[in-house]
Amino acid sequence: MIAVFVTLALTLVLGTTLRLAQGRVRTPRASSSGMPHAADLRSMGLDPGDGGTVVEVTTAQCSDCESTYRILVDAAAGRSGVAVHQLSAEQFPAVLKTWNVLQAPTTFFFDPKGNLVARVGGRATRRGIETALEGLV
Amino acid sequence: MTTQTSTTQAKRIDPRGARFGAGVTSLVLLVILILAPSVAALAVLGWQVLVFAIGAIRGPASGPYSLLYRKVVRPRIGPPSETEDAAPPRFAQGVGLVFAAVGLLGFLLGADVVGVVAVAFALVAALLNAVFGLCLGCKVYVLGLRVIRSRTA
Repeated sequence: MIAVFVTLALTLVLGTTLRLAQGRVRTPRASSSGMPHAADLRSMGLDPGDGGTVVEVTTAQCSDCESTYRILVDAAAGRSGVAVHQLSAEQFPAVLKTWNVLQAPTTFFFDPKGNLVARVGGRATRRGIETALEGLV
Repeated sequence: MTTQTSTTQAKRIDPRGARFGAGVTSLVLLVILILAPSVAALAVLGWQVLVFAIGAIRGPASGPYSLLYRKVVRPRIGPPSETEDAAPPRFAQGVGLVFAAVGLLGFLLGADVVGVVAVAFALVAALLNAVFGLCLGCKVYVLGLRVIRSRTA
């Protein structure tokens, strides 16, 4: 019976923590070394956009990648020159380390110069994506 | 635009059915933990191992909980507004199968602590899905991919 309570309590704490972390928009610190840059994209066959580039890192076992991608495409459609890409972690596993990806989807927002301006881990919200896109201009 | 390639036409499922299945699974696993260790717990766990196996092998829409959803719940709430790729929940069924099987083996061999812990892990994953809509297996998959691929690279 103790096992039941411990399990339920653990799930509640874990679930609340993970849920709160989903979709949080993080701004990378300036001038930190080894930051993702849009220049990395061409080697993976992705074209940067004139108005900025959005890259969603996905996996084959990802429950929120599709819905997040739909919002990304929809939100970017209202802005000119913003390219939206999906990047398969199975095809390019190196990005997991170099871009420090711990969950899928993780979405990266690069400004027109190619600098990373924001990253969003997990299931993204429309408002969070809009906020991140604002940072591109 | 997209670089994600899929060679086969992906199977689609009603996401509410998967969520419902996770809810039923949570209840079943909870009952096992309350009854354990006992013959009754063993029987229910045996059933759940079978359910996970069907979901992992034939897909999440083939299991008995999914059937229950389609026969009883879905007619009352109508068709889904959007569908989901069946691969992630199928993978999750596989993860559930591993934990449930380890639990079953634990109880059968008299290692009750192993049985309880394994079932508890499965319960955490199922509850996270049912209550919070989180896919724990998907998160573990990314970390696994990261570790394995960086080792072979």
